[in-house]
Amino acid sequence: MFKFNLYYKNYSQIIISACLAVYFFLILVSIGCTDIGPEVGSDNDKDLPVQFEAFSVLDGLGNEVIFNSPPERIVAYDSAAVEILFALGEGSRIVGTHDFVEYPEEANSIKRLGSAFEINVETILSLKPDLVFLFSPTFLNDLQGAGIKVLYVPNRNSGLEDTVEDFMMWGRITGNIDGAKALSMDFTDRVETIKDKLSDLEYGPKVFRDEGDLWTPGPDTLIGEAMTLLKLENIAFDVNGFEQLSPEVLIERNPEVIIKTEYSTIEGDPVFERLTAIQDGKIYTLNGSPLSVAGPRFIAGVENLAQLIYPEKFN
Amino acid sequence: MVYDTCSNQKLSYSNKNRTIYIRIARRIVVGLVVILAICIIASSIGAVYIPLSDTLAIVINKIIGIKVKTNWPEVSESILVNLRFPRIILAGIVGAALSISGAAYQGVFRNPLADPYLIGSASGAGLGAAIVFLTGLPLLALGGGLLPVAAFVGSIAAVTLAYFIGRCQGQIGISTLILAGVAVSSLAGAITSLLMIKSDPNLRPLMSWLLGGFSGSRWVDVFILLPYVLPPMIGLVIYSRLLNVLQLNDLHAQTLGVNVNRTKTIILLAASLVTASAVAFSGVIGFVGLVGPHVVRLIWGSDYRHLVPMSAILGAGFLILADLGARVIAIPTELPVGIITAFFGAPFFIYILKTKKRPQGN
Repeated sequence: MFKFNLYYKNYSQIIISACLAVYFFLILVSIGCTDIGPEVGSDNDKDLPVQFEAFSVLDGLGNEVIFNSPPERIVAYDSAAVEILFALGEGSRIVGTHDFVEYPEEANSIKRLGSAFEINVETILSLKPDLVFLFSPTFLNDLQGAGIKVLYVPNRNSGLEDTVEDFMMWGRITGNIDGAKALSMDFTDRVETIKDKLSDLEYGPKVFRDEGDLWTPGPDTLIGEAMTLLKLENIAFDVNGFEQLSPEVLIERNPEVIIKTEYSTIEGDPVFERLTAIQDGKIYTLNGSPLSVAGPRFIAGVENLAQLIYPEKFN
Repeated sequence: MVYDTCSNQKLSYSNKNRTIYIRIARRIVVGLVVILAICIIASSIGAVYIPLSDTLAIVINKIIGIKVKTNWPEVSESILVNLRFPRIILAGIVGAALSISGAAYQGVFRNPLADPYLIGSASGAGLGAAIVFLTGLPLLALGGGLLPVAAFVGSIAAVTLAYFIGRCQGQIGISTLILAGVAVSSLAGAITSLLMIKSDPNLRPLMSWLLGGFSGSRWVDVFILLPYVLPPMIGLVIYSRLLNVLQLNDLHAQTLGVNVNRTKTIILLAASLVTASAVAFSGVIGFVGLVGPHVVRLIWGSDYRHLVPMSAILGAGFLILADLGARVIAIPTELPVGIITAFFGAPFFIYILKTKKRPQGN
């Protein structure tokens, strides 16, 4: 307790008491916390970067998670978090992640702790992480009960604004604020460039995205947002999240461009051969990964899409 | 009751039989007319509005070649002819197939809870489909037909495995076969789950296949499916008389001159072939195989001679209507048809279980 008081001396009384209240609460609710808490603190004292400022993040449940020093052993149970950490050059801090993380290549050697929807708590404990990042609250209580510091932030809705926010959050957590600023600048610049190039365009072609079996993203998904940015008219404008579009509706709305994945069977299906997109040969394959993870790569995915649809403007 | 039918047959065999068969034939004809009406109604309803007059005009034009009306939109014709017709027909065939094999399984196993998936068809098909999806084999190989072929092979393999495990000393023990089926089903299901967990999280196409549906049904599916299901279905109708005999215990049936083992094997083979073919094209659709036969039993009694054909007709109608629900409830999107059949099938089934004091099919 004494230690924490020292850290917070520079800050206003309110923040101190708020943070302490949360910390006390955590201690009270989690039995194991008292064993691990101080140990982690003393470990990190030596490596504490000079510029690191203690701060707190509001998690998905509205609780404050306090960072006094950059975590050195992160279990990042989220594709976007892994991609952001590697883009910041902080990938070496990751000690564990889930089975479906596939980018960047360096992440392949990170220990896998289960598919994204389950988690091997014992293995996590054996890794002795000082931070576990989760996108789903399912294992929050298990891990906190085991005395592990958990940051739970639900999946982002917006790929453009929230992603930049995530860059900054990870920058602050790892003490690499300059890196995060550079990453955010690059990201927003590229978004602006796309907007500039399309500024004289009133609206683009009607587009259908087929993830296979006519499963398609609505406007409230990351891909939907990429389409909005590119001024594309998503024919699945009334779909929520991912849903399976009726083939009749696909024919009636007649897209001018189809962006499909490898699972799609639209091409070669005689039923769809009269669609404008098929007639004009404007059916492109773009697999999901960059466009479905709200990380630094998302903008590259958007640029890819832009190149396919507006080759004259983006090549 | 079944026993009565059999002994009555001995008393005034030919006369009694003729009236029964005439009655069955009459019911089948009425049933088919009702199915036709359901088809026409179902094809005029959908995500895209097509007026009934256009629907009828297009149907007449396509079948007879007379142009009653010429000014329907081309999109309407394309949707109706290329999407709704094959889909409705396929739903009808699959509904008939599942329901008829449900009746056959219930008869052979003398168990009202038997359904077409009892001895492994569904989980075998699921495993076959999962392997195709998850090993990244090109889905469009074999002209887009790789998936049904894999599902069919998986289904037949699972049933065969269960059959050979369940057969002991040349006899087909009913409970051994069911247990073997349960074991094979669990194993195949577990392997499917394992494959799914250990693979790409983009499981939507596989999940929607496993839930079953007709969103991707085309004429080519109808033409491939028909030769597989029609002969064994006709075979089951012909064998339906022997299903009555199988309701006796094996010894009694044997003394009536029925080769019990061979009859069981033939009926199981036919029903499994029908189920596997249906599953291959529609995915796993629950409750059709249970509800069809039970409704027929409630209305017309448990004589298998009409139970078998009428189950097919009822199942066809049920699944066409369920698929109509799947198409229109969540416009502009589709629901998996299995959700609809379960939604209406499960409460009905609970009702059956609650109201019947004695188990059906005995």
